Amino acid sequence: MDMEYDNDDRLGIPNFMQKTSTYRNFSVYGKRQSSAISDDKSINMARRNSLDSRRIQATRCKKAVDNSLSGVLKKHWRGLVVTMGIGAVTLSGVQTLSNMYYNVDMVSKNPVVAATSAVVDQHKSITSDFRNWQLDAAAVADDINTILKNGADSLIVLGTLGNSLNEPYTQDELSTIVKSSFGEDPDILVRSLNPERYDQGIQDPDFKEDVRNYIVKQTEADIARASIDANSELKAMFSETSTNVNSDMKGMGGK
Amino acid sequence: MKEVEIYSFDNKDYVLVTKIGSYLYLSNEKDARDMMIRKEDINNPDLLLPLEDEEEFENALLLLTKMKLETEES
Repeated sequence: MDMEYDNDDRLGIPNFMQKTSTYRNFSVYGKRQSSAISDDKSINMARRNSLDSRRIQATRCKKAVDNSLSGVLKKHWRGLVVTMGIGAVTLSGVQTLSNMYYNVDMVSKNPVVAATSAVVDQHKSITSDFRNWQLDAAAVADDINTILKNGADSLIVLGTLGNSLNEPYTQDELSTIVKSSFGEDPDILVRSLNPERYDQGIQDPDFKEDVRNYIVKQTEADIARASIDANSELKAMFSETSTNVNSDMKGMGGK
Repeated sequence: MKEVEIYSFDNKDYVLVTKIGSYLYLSNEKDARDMMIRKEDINNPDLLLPLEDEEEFENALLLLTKMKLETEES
């Protein structure tokens, strides 16, 4: 896959995402749904059930259940975890659980994803009846503008905003934030990147998949660069130490 | 067949899917979408306490993710 990256591209989109070639055919993920099961209803229910302030007196017992039931229940939890994953909502179109957690981990390690998600979380609050979310869109937009001014990758910011605010009832807030920070409606903006591939706009599964893959690659590259830098520093320190030791030895009559 | 631990309350049976520390991850036996995370009271394991706030809810999910990651890696 062509992963060339050109800062002059619109929004810093890597070249491969602006092509409408046969990329879709090579995708190993396609548009199929993840095997993980989750939706807004079950997430809201889990949140409400967990935060309802009740102290529940339960009775415990052991019971034999069908193995398949245990598997189904675990699958729902897996879906919940993936969907709740930081900025990685609905990014779970991956082949194996191992890949899924690797990608979620890589996405969550990305500093721009973390910063953008943190901004959204910071200005998000739940109503007292735990039924609805409220978001201070203007405050989010201000902070996002600051992040962008500091040189954050605009594609990652945009993708993370889309994933963090993917519920139907957050689309107005998402629109306000994106218009403020990018000067364009989010759906129009994303479609303009690749009209054929991203026809559903910012919530298009192909856009999410491409952004996720891009973030994973960027994070891997960052980690590799950090590792190289650390090794170079160690080598420099070692070289410096060796030089000093040699000098000291020469000072003591060494050759 | 597999033996699981059941917590019964509100006329429903919840399966203990997993336990991490004091966190209990429970699923309604008859409705897999009915899930919750509760804390076990230290002095009374039958008393299920609510989570404090959204942050604790997400942290509890993060713990579950980490446990799965470790399981996957091992």
